[in-house]
Amino acid sequence: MSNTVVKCEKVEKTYQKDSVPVYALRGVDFEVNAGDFVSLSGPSGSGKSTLLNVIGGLDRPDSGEVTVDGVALSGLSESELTELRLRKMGFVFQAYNLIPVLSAQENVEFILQLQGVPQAERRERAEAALESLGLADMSHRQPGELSGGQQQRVAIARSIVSNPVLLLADEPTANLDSGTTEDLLGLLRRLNEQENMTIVTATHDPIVMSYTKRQVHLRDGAIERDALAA
Amino acid sequence: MTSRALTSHDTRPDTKATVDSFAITLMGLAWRNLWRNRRRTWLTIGGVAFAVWFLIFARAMQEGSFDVMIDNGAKMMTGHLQIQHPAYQDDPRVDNSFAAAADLDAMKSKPEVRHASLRGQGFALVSSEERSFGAQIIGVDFETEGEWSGLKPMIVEGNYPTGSGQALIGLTLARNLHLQLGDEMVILGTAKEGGIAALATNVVGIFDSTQPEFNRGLVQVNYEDFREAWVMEPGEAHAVVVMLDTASVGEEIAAQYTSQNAVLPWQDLMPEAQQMKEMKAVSSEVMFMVMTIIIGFSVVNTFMMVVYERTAEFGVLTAIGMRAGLIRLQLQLEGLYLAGLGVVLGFVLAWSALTIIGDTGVPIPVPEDALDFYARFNMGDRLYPAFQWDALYLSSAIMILGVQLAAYIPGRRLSRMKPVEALRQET
Repeated sequence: MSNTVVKCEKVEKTYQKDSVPVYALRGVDFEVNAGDFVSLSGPSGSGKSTLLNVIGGLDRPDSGEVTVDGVALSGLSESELTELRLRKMGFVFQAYNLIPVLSAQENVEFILQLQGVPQAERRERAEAALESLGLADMSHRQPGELSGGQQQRVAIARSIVSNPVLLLADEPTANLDSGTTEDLLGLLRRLNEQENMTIVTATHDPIVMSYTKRQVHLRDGAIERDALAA
Repeated sequence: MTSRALTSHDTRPDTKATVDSFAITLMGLAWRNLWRNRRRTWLTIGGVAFAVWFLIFARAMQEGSFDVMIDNGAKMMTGHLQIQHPAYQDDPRVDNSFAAAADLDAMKSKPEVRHASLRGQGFALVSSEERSFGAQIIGVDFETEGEWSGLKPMIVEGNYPTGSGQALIGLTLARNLHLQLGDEMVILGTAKEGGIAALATNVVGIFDSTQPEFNRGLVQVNYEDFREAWVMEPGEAHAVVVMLDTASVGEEIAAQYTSQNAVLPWQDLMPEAQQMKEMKAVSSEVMFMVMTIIIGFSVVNTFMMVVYERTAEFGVLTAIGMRAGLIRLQLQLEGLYLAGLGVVLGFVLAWSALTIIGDTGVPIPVPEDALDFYARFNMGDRLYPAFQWDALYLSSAIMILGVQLAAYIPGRRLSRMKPVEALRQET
């Protein structure tokens, strides 16, 4: 069985901005294998976030095909895409985006609850995820009672608790100070190396890129450079 | 890599066992979301509560004013309910009388009945020494009707009659006949069997009512005097006149009471009052609806703002795998809680207010120089509200449906929105 987790074939995406077409992706061909830790970088408007969104099924390409874990996204309805994200992907956002009225543990459990995991199992898995990220003591705190770094850790716990085949992170350290950024990147590296978690992150931060195994640089909607880290 | 179709492994929940528990979580989540902005939530609840309170309270006051109107009409002439010969309502001839003693006793035994008595009624020529005029003659039980008659406070000369040989007449009729208090008048009519009904009686009271036809052509005499003059059997009458605790039970009692005679609630006796009530009710309901919808719109607007502000959050929920249908359900639940709390609060406020003022009534501002007028015409200086369940049902339905609509509209928009578009709302 192929170990390709993500495959993009001739993916194109154009936006209209003030009636002027903006080419966000120009025929991108791109693959991510299981166990990869890939950074998508490039200047603003290079298409890195668009590519991440297209891979995550949050946006649809105008043409081309995206396949995730063997499932072609173009044939899926919005509802099926949502289910696919639930089953196969984890998301980490720049602004953490935890559910503000739920505690850390409830936020993590929420994904499992959406998946229909029984209560006892989801509690156990959520506690384990939080513990692995050093948040065991903060499981009952609400997001507003946590620092930015702690919230992002909870967001990571939420994204990995369901054992997704792919973790997508959009500028995950953009709101964090440098110390917390290093901590968090160490965490992602550990998940990648120890759990063999496939991670794709969009970033403009050189520190983030330095932690990834593979660096893909985009410019004007096309891949300019795709290289393994030295 | 070869692509494949989506399988149940990719999309189906692992088990159905937690569906119920997720519903509970969704309810809890909706409840907690409600209190993320306490001030705005309370303001919205307050808006709903005010609309509900307003509708219930205004309907209660309106119904209270209807009750006053109906009571005044009943006291003036008809009572809340009458039992008559089946033909009398359409053909009020003297010979359409009936043996009324059993019906009188039956009515007196009912707990809702405050007063019941017999009446004889006919048209006759009323003469003084100088003149004669036609008038309606009503033989009443002065002792009983004196307890509630609306004519009593309208007496401008003399007193309400108390027994045989006494009469109460309208002011215009007294003037036309040149009658003074204590003067004798002679009543000549057609008796039941066709003979002459003749009755001599003394004027002991003169009333001045709001209605010219009463002033001009109404005479009340003693029931027994009437019965003998019109050659009717003891207990025979043209009507059993009943006053109830409240006019609102009239229809129910009329429907429940079985008699070979006609049992007529005030709606049949005063159809014009019923029509007026219905017309006023329709116009008031339109007004209430318009006002409630205006209030409702402000509530709906607030709720829609709440939803739009959270568009990015819904984008995140969709991104992490929450179906749009569940997000919409959560919104509907939030709306239900919001409207439900508002309805309960509005009902409690309205009920409390109506309970507090229910016994004492609400003072109607009456100019000092009009106090006598109000008293004479039985208008009273206070309005007593009457709670109406339909006002609660109507206001609750409008508010709950309105807020559900407010949740539904942005919910539909969210369903059509791509997650990435919803996420962009953040900036």
